[in-house]
Amino acid sequence: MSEQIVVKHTADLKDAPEEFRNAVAKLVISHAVNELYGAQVFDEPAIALAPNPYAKWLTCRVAMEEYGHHVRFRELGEEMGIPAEKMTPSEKRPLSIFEFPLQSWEEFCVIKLLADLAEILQVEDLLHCNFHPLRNLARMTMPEERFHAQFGEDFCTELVATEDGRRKVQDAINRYYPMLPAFFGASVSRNNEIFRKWGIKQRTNDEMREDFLGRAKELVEDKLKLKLPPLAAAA
Amino acid sequence: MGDPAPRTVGAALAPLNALRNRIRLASWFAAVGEELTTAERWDTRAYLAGLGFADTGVAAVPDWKQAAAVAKSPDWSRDWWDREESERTALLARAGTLMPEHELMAALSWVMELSASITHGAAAIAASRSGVADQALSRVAAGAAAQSAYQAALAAIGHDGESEHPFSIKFRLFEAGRWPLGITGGSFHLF
Repeated sequence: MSEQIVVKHTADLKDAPEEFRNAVAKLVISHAVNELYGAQVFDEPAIALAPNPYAKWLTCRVAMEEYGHHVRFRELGEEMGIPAEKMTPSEKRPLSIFEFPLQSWEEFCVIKLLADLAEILQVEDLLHCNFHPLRNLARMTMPEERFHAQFGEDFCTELVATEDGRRKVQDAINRYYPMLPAFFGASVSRNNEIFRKWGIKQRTNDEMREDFLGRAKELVEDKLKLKLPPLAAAA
Repeated sequence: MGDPAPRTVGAALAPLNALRNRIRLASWFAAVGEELTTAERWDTRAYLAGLGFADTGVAAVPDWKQAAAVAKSPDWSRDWWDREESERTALLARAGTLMPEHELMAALSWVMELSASITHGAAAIAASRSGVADQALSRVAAGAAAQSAYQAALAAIGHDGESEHPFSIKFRLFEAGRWPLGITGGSFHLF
């Protein structure tokens, strides 16, 4: 059902149908805002919570990479003619997860483990996007996103080696995991229909959500030997 | 009180131009693991004295594996980290009196973006020359270097004392190819 249109350069976007242009702009704004929110709300405060200089400097670097992703999306948006102020948190309501202030290192590691996994899925879906500047940006961003999720997995693995750490990581999973499936949007979504119609994205929101739930289960239950909370009860 | 005049803001930001060049030209991580020079020991002592740790000894770190172990060590000095943090906060507050917040943040972001774009690659190359391929460790090194560049930028804008600020001295150690790892087990470790 994908319309056969490929836009190789930002300058060619003006010749694309309005629906295509609007859809691409929505995605770029969403990524620019959420990358900045993530860096400000989670990564920067986590530097103070990190348990030693190694973890502090690594978190500092990760914060800079997340901020760098915001800059890349914002620059693409500006090339597309989107005003810079539309790509900052003051103009667009953030995802609900960003409204919960970070309180512990364990929470941060769980956010990297699971929220960055959700982000990976969103970026993966753009790897074959037919708006090539966005596709290229997704390809450039992906290795760092994967590293950030690996950061979460590595530190969570280290934390669950102690009983106290296990309890804290499980508690953070119980509180943050239920918010994450909503990342992928509604099951019936006009936006997603338009994204797929034009070949900007590849999968339905439900397909991505199912994939996320499966991968999260593998990480939390199979690797860390912890439990995912039931989503219906938490909703 | 209104915002400082543009001429004043320009003068306050002028030292950053030199710092940006130094960030570009620094020998990031090129001397890690080598024997410490007398000048580096003097600089490290001056840095420590400036932060109030004049009695702390200086220890050389021979390789990347040891550097990671020092940075992860449970007996790292929180006093040292907190002292740097209180210096950072004081400099930021003073810099904030010299220019509008958005200009200060833009200038500091510029320094961070520049250092971020340079230091990770330099750390990865230096580590690989020593046979170390550790994505996390090269990022740790880059994070430390970027933090130092940020601290040096704040010192360049906000320090008005006669003696050189400890953050400027620490940055000079990075600039010379070293990685100052901090106080652990009662000694300051320099890689």
